[in-house]
Amino acid sequence: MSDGADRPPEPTTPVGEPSNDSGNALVVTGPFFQRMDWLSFGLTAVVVLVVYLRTLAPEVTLEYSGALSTSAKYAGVAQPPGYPVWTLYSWLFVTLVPFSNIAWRVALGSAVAAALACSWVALMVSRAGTLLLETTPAFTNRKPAEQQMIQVVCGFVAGMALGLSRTVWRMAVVAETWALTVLLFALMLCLLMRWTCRPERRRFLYGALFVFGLLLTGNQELFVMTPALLLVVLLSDQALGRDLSVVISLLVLADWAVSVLGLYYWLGSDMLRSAGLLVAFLLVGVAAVVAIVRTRRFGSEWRSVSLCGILFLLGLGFYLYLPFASMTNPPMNWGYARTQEGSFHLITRGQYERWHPTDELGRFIGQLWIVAKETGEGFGWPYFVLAALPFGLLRRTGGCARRWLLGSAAVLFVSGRLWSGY
Amino acid sequence: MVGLLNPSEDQIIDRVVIAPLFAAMYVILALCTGLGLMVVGSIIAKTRMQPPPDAMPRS
Repeated sequence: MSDGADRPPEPTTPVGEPSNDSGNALVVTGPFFQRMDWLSFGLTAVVVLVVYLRTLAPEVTLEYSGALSTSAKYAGVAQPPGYPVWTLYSWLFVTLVPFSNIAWRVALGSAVAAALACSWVALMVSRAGTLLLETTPAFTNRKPAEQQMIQVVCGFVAGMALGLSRTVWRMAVVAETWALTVLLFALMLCLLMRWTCRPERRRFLYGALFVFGLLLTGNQELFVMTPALLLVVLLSDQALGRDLSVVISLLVLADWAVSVLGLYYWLGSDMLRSAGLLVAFLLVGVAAVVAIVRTRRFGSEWRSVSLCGILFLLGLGFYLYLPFASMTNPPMNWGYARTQEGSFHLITRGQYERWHPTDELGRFIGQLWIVAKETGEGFGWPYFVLAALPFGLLRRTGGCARRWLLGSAAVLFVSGRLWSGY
Repeated sequence: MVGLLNPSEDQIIDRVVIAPLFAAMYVILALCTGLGLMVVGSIIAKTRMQPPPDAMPRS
């Protein structure tokens, strides 16, 4: 088993040194994230956190705030699907912060998580922007100090745009689970970015899959991102992506067949009734088969594939916390998870309605409009124009930035727009 | 995910309920926005010019 540490490191392109024919960009080895990236990270974290602290809810708010605060206080079992990672995270804040009421402390946890998510975004923009623009003379011909200034400012602006968007801000100042979701998602993207630039260092991919497992303990609907993640792996490491995609596509196909025949049911079975999701998995499977034909090999990366599976299950394994927490009989003990039936009922969201993917095109278009409108109003329409610009540089930029940007676009696609019956 | 969640079109409350589900999408939008800003910034930001010789302070 090798994480590829014995292979030579891929050069990165930090800013700050004189260069060759492409201006001031110089290919050197060293830490992937540079000092300016971390400056952007720190600046964003501090400013966003100050804004959140000034606007933090002083008490229990509406919706699930009270139930979640109780769950965090006693490290209990929250509403389906149990939110084990969020509960433990918030319990730490309730325990370690010695002042104010419980709901405020839990909201503080939300604020910290959201601020960190924004700062990870700032970090990624600062670094990825440099990689993206390493072949653009308008950037590389600038003085190192100017490049650094652009890095820091753009990273900061991106972090603030996320942090001050209506939806994120609203959930960052109350006792809710979403802020941690955003943090874990941003962290997973950052680890993936780190890995795509140096695919031989697979520990970052393992880390990303572990975080993906953690993410699914609270937001099972993000399972739809799996094909996009496989695409990132395929683009960055063909051999590993090939083996991983074949295994997962076969598992998905088997699950779909078993559920169609009515032999077995689990939560993912309903999701796979969405033809879009099924087709995406099949496309990834086809790409993997093409990779097998091209490389004339299969299974050479079984150890890494196994490790990927183990790390993912390790993250997902936090669900095992729920029955143990339920045994302590906390005030918030949803679903009586100490029993096998209760655990299954809780984790599969048995109390709620099952997934019913859209199966009408007209309805799907209407839903897309709702989401687009909400996103435009919550995030800001003008940002959409800016967000489209990096894709214009895809053909000119290097492999690392291209792979990561394509992967991010795929994640954006599946996390927002895909999965109708069409 | 829109199709998977299958939100109602005519209930305004659904916009509030479903918005957090798309928070992950916001992260990528913010990333792309930052990168786009970097593209624009590197093109339109003025390079600081050296002051002309006669504008230099004389000792």
